[in-house]
Order: sequence, then C-alpha cells, then structure tokens
Amino acid sequence: MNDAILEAAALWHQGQARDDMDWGGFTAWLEADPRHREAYDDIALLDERVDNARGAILASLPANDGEASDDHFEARFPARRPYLAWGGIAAALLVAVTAGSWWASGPSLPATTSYAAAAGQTRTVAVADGATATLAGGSRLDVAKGAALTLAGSAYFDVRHDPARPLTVTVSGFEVRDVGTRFDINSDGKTIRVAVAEGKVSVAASGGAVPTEVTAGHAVVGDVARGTVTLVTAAPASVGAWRSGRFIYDQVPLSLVAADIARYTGHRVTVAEGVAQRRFSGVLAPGDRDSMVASVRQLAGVSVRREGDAVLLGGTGG
Amino acid sequence: MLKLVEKARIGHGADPFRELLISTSPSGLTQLFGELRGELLRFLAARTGDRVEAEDLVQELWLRVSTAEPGPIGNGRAYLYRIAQNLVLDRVRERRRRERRDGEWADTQTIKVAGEAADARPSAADVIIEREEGAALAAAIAALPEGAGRAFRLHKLEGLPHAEVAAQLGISRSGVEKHIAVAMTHLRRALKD
Repeated sequence: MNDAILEAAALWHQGQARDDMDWGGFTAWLEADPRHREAYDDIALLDERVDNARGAILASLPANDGEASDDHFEARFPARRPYLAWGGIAAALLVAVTAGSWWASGPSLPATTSYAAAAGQTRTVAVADGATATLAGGSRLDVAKGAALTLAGSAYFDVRHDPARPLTVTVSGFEVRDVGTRFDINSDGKTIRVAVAEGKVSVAASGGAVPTEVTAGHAVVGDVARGTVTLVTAAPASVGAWRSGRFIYDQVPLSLVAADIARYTGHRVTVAEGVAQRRFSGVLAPGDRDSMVASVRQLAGVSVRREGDAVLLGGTGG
Repeated sequence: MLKLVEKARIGHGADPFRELLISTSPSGLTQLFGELRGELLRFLAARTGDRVEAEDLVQELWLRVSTAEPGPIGNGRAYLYRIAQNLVLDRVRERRRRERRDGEWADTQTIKVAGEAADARPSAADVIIEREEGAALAAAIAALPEGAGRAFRLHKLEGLPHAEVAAQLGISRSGVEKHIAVAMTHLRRALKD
C-alpha cells in the first residue's frame, strides 16, 4: 500500500465531517481500485483506535509517571500536563483561565470568573484540569472557586475521567454531575436538556431530588418549574454538533431549538406554549434568523409570525 | 412490519420493496431512502467490494431507518451515508478481530495452562493493555511532523472541530484536513504490526 493511497483515504475520511461531502466522488474513488477500499478500512479502524485510546494517550503524554522515559518523547513534551504542553487553543485559554490554580486558594483569585460567547460564535474554555467547556453563542458560564460551574444557555463539556474530582454544573436549578464524559447542556430557563455523547452523568433537580443517571446515547429533558425530568434517546453524533457549525437535533424540545437560534443569531425567537415541548428532530444549517426559522417551520410544520422584534413559532393564525 | 420486510427481502431488488419503503413510514427519511437506494447500494458495493454483502447491508440500513424515531431529518442524505459507513465498519472490525483470533489460536493454546493466575484479575490485565496501547499511540503521535502533529492533536485529542483547528493554526479548513490525513498516514506506517 503506498502512502499516496493511504493519504487519499484519510482525506476522504476527514471530509465526511463536512455537510457538502462528495459521496458520489468517494464511491467512484473506491470503485477505481480495490486497494482504495483496503486503505480506507485501515484508516477508519486506526481513527477508531485513536478515539478509543484517547484517555490513555493523554495519560501517557505527561512525562511524570516514570514510564515515558523516551528522550525524544520528553523533549517534545517537556511540560507535565498535555494541555499546557500543546500550544494552540489550550495554551491561549490557560492564560485567561485559572485551571492551574483550580484547587488552590490564593487570595488574589476572584471568587467567580465569567466566560461569555458572543452571538454566532463558540468559545472553548478550560474549566478544570482536563475539562473543557465549549460555549454556544450567547451563552455564559460562571466558574466559581471550588469547582462550581453555573451555566446560562448552552455548552458542551468534555471531562477526563477522574472519580476523585467530579465536575458539577448548575443550570436553571438542576445539578449535572459528571466524573468523566462528553455531554451537552442546553437551557432556556424553563426547560433544560442534558445529552450524553460518552460516559455517564447524573442530573438532579435542586432540593435533594433523586438524581437521574444519563448514559451515552441518552438525554434528559427537565421541566424547571416542576423539577421533573424525562429520559429520552439521543444520537451521540448529534450531541454538541453545533460546535462544528451544524445544529443537529434528536428529539429536542422546540423551545430549546428556538433558544439556540436566538442565541446564535442574537435575535429573539419565542415559542407558543402549546408547541414548546414538541420534540424536534432535524439538521439546521447556520444562517440568519429568518432562514433558520424557515427551516424549522418546514421540518416541524409549525406556523411562524412576527411579534415586534421577536419571531413567534407555533402561534395561532400564523 | 418486520414480516413485510422479510417478505420483501426474498424478492429483493423488486419494485414492491420500494413501494413498501414509502408506505410503511410517513417520515421523510424512509422516503429519501427509497429515492437513494440505488446510489446507497452502489456505494456499499464499492465500500465492501461485495455485491451480496452490499445488498444485505442495504436491508440492514433500511431496518435502521424504518425503526428510527419518526421525525424529519435535514440533510438526510449525509445521514444515510454515515449510517451506511458505520454498518460497514462494524463488519470490517468484526472480520479483522476474527482473523486475528484465528491467527493467534495456536499461541493461546500453549498459554492456556498457565492462564489461571492471569484470568483471576482480567481487569488488571486490561488496564495494562490499555496503558500500553496509549503509550504506543502517544509515542507515534509525538513523532509526527510538526504541522500535521499539531492539527492532529487539536482535532483528535483535544476534540476541536476542523473549523476551530483551522482558526487556531491560521490555515484553511482543507489545510487542516490535509494535515490530519498526513498524520494518519504516518501513524498507519508507524503502527503497522
């Protein structure tokens, strides 16, 4: 197998994250030579192997456990923590974030640090050692000293497994507790939804309610006023898909879809009481409010009406 | 409905099956499946190199689609292709595992006798294997060419989407894809058994 074929296979593999992937072209490439298929199998399995070993790879990277004694290895990763060692976004964010002093109690630390993402933009912050949060546009995350996180809006969390240091996020009165997983939280203040792509989290309404465990491929929808939760399925691929600019919904309450559009575009979108809890499944292309709302109307079959500076979904007579 | 699908499978490729597709579920996805069945079959045949297996996979894909929660899905074409890809990969993975097991059969026979102590703590063994796997991959990743390595780590290990990696590195999105493809090629070479 020559490198050119492997590289072409890997390129096709990467391209599949795109909405405009050329599936016909991929088919033709596979048909052109049986070696292409083999190369593609190799690449896809390798990709999966890296995904499966991600935690172990990250654990192997810091040179602090006496195992990584390879000189070459240490030279390239001199820092103890991979997130510190690797440049790019991690390093840039760590400047602003108190990840290193997470458990410290320095008097100079502010009690709470707030992070906000502007409409139409996402922002990734390191919220604890080995944990990152990607904020959806128009969302805010307060990080208090002592690992308490409070979210308003929508964010995707990626937490490395560490049972000794669970991460707790408070959102609209619900507590989401996690020990190592990837999950997505969305709230419009009335309804919350926590979807899990990998691992497990527990979600509890405030006031000592019995927590509900949510495993990968599932989500809970919580009613903020009543403090109740409903467990539903959620395609793992749909969880946090908005980070790559695609809004993929799998049985998401319409009110949260509207909240996403409002936060993303920076313009108000409201939902009539009668359809707020209706489940929506579909993919929305990012765009301006009118185009996104038009897609929802088409996919969900709800009416759309202007009300002042807001757009109302599902109102009567629309 | 399952019964109907079975029946359709017997006479597969025939038009009645196509009608069945559209009539059994009102959702747009099954309708789309009906429209794309031909190209999906061609894709699966190219992907597996086996026309019969491709037919089988198309049926499996149909089952997935028809039993999915009803509801509209935008960009259904990409969605169907991705499910098809996953179905193929499941089979490839299973096939390779089987081949490996068969190949290792002779070796495992000799170890079996002394296997008791190791069997008593399978989780400890798993932990070691996992750690070794992580170390092997980490070493190979550390040896990647600089640009490819950076893009690969940001995307695969830190979980940033392509667009964010592109913004980080100040290159285009296709540049990121190219870097990662180069990285994967290097890793494949380095990790080849």
